[in-house]
Amino acid sequence: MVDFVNAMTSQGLYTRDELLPKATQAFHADFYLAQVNNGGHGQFIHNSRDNIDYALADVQAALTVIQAEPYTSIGEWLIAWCQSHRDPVTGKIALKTREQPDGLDILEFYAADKASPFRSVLGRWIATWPELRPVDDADYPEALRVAASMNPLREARQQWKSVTRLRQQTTDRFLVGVGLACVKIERPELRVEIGAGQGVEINGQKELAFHVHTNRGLNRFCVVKPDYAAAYEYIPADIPTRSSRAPVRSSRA
Amino acid sequence: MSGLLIDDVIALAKKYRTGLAIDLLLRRAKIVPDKALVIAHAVVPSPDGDLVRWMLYAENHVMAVLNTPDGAALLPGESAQPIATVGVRDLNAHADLIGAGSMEANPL
Repeated sequence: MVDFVNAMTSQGLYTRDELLPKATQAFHADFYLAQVNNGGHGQFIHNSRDNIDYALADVQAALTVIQAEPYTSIGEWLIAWCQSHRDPVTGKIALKTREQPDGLDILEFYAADKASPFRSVLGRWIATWPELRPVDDADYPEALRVAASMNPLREARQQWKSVTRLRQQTTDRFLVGVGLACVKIERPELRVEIGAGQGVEINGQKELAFHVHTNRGLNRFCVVKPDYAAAYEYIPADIPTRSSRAPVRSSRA
Repeated sequence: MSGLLIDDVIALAKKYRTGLAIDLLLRRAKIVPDKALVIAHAVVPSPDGDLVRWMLYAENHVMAVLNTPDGAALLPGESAQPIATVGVRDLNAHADLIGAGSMEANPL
């Protein structure tokens, strides 16, 4: 079911509302299990991010139908806990990173999962769906591809996603700044990939610089500030040098 | 290259609908736009509306896009003939199509 929902949303570009509600409920119930097993209920809340309300509603709906204890009770407790820990202004759930909701013995969940695996409980529920069409494992990828291609809005949505990506490249200040800085190098380079940022000392000042890989196969350090963007030569730390990094060129804004 | 300002480029990209224009240019040139990289190169002031030159990297080729208030042209190199052009009417039609496929608010 996870593969099905992933394929329908990523390849078929169906929206949540266009899928069978039970499918997204089972999807989020499985996601819930994976997250709780990996890092507890706190991880489920954090990794759901802005989708938490939909994930919670789906998990609740699935557990209500399944009626398998102690999962259903634990799910009800989680919903109640989240409701009572919402910021009154933002509506977001107040929980710090790596913090766990208080008042639940997570060992109870793990013991239940060992005695009666939650995934098996889910599987038994899914098996009762009249909408289910059995497909051999070998035929499943092709069945997913066909189902994904049947979305009449897929082409328009693909184009919308493409335009959105191009629009971001042409209007995002960081991307435009990095691109300009690399283009202004003596032999212009095109930014191909932007990696992680790190604190780097440049001209005696600590700056947040980002690794940038260019189409010439070179690595640069790029900085985008309110008044300029600049690309710097990347010198690995193990090469001794008097001046650790020299500016290649910079574009000013 | 002097006077090239990040904020000016962004303002012109919004005004000229550059993302929309480049998507349509690439489709007309039969180039898959999904992995295209777009980088601002230069702004050329003009009384009829500034021209923005973009560099485009797609399917292992570096190309150029010239973008004005009237539309955009895709060039394979520095001085070659355009391999695709789009005007304001084309952009309006493409915007309608794109609007039908909007997934702006799309929770899972």
